[in-house]
Amino acid sequence: MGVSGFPVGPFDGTWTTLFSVAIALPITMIVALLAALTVAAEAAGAASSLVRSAGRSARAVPPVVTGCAVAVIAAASGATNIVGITVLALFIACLPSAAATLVETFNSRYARRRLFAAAAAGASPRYIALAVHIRGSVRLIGAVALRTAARMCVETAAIVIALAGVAGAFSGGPSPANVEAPYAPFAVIQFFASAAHPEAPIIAWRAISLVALVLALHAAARLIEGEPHELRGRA
Amino acid sequence: MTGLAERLTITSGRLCAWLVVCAPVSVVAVIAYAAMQVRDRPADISYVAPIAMTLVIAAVAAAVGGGLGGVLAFASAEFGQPRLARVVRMCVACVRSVPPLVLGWLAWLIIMPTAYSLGAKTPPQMWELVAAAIVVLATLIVPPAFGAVLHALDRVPAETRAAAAASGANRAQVALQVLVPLVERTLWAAIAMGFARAAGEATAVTLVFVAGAFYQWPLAGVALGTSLAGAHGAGDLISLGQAAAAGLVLTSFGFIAVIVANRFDRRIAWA
Repeated sequence: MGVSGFPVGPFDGTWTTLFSVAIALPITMIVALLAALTVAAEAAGAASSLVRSAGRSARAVPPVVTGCAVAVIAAASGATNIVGITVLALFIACLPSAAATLVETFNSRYARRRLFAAAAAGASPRYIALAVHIRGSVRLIGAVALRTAARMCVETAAIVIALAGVAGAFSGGPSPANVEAPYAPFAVIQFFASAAHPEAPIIAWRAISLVALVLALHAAARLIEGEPHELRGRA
Repeated sequence: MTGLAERLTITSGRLCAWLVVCAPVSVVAVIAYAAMQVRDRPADISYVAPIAMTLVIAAVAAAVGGGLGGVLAFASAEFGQPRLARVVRMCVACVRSVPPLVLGWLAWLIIMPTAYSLGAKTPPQMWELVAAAIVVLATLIVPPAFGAVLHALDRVPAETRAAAAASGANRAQVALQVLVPLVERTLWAAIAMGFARAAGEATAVTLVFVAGAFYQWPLAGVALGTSLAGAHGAGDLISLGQAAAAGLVLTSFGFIAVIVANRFDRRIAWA
């Protein structure tokens, strides 16, 4: 089991990454959005305060640990599908922070003002959720989705550990080192290829493409959400 | 029908909220369970040295990165021209966009050869690798610390500045004697959160230490995150039990750091 067998195509793993993010991102955003709306409407009961705490406590769980837990779950359940394991790792790693950010968005001063105005006007809870929160914060929700996508594209540690851990449990299971490179996520290939051939020019191109991808997603997020209000006032 | 749809929406929302709550809890529970079930406890890996090394690297990186980010945010917000502050924010945003993976690779590619060119011996000494890891981790911590202090400065009411200025304080006095005490706790919280991030960051540190592994160094004996990312060298299989035990220790560090950060500033904006 080594790392030297990786082909060095510049776009190896791109489709697997896109496929994994395309599955993980909608699931994560839908769950986070529903949870945040429920918390903002104060309809989540005991979970309301816990969702905010989950966002903070999730910072204490490193991605490598999340990957390790996913590997344990996959090993226990016998799952060996690379995309499935990757999606699970990305979902668990990104869900708490996405939900906490959306809760903050829906509980901001401006969102609360809109909420009180709609409630005073006799709006139904469904109207408040759909029209006041979602329509009023659609740009911020889009920005959160883009930032979550950026994080998912480069969440290497969780995926590497998840896949390598499953391979440790099942001899011949899905390990980045023993699958065809085009079928392993991009960041994973980048990780192993960097370790094996750091001076290869292809690694530089991959690194540049990763940085460009993340930068583009962050820039798009900033573009659609605009300058933060406080900073706009300061500048 | 409408009532049923609303009830279904609220129920599914509650389920999603509990799912969010359960995500980190279940990760910790699974890791704890797996760590307790360790049967393949490796005899050749002691956790004392990795824990000590992780603590040292994370603490130094958090102090350097958190302090630098805080000072940069304070200086750009209070003493810099608006245009300069905007440029600094853009630069920090660019650094934030660089994935840890790429930073680790850059450290290996740039920092290590630079050390050689400055007269360092080949193969690299341990302190050189540790220094490279600290540089990488500190670079990772600067952007969130910058953002946290900037956010804390934005939370200071305008009346506070106006009152200090009306009392005859000049710009430097307002900044150093009024604002610094107000954001000091946020800075400490940022350093604590930076410690949690540095302790848990495996990808970048692993790539730095892989350089040492090429010279037959035991990678797992260096830092906890490294021991997870490549127990016997990058690309080899990892032992789940061994990784779970290391992960449990790492998570404990993280929770302690977050609790400390909450003691300083519960509203810290740490992204």
